[in-house]
Amino acid sequence: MTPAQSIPPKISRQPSLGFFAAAIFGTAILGTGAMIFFFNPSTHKFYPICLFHAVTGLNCPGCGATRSFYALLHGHFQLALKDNALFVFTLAAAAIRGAWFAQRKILRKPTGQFISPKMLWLLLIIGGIFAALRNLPAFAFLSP
Amino acid sequence: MYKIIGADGKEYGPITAEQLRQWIAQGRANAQTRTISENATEWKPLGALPEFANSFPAAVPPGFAPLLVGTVRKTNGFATGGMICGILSIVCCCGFPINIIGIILSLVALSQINRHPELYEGRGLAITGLILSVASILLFVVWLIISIASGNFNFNWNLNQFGQ
Repeated sequence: MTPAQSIPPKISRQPSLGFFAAAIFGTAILGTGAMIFFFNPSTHKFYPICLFHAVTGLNCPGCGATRSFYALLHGHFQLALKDNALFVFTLAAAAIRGAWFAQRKILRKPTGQFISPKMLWLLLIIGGIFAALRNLPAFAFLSP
Repeated sequence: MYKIIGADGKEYGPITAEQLRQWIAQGRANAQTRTISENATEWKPLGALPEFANSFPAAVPPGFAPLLVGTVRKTNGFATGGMICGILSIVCCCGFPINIIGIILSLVALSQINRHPELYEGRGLAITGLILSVASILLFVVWLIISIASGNFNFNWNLNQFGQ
């Protein structure tokens, strides 16, 4: 029988850089979400303006995302899709990926990176196409 | 019988293999813990002892392990972060803290990739992140000039000139 004082202490696990990044990101998302939930972006003026929109008059791929998020949080899916369809789909994809990722982490299976470089390039290209389309007269329904 | 060096740097033991496995399970010892068995002469990491090899979950699945030894380069995490910030800084309205962070992350990534090209990839990601972040700042400068010149900081949300 080993005396109690000769048991080594537990090894404290160092949280990784990714953990901190995720924590900061998550807090920011939650805070922003709460603010958007309580203050309608269509009627409150304190939200930051889109610089691209302000300078060019065109809609950037993110224009309408705040209103889209507000609509989503209040359960208006059609309005959310109309305000920014790309945002809704990206959010859905991120949620699915997040759930998969969390499940793998809990089961201690290898996960790889949360976002792969290929996905980022894809997102950039789709964002560009989306921006081009929503500013064309024929695809004006993509604009908020 | 084994002796180990605990997380506090002190020596523990001698203990039986059974007891040591229990310590591993309780998180008191891991694969990096320095260990000496009673008839060995030098301290070794616990993970290097064959009798404890299956006490630790494999860090990478066995099929991938040979690939990871020097042949496959890892995408630099800062490059990915820089790219994400770059995209967000254009798309998220004013983009302000994000474009600064994007520039910093991209520059860190580029310097790391340049220093260890054999370890990292993701130069394209980092450069794109940098360009997008800088573009976001330029956009802000242009907007500032226009606003000051016209004396008009007022903006209308629904402005697709074709739509509504």
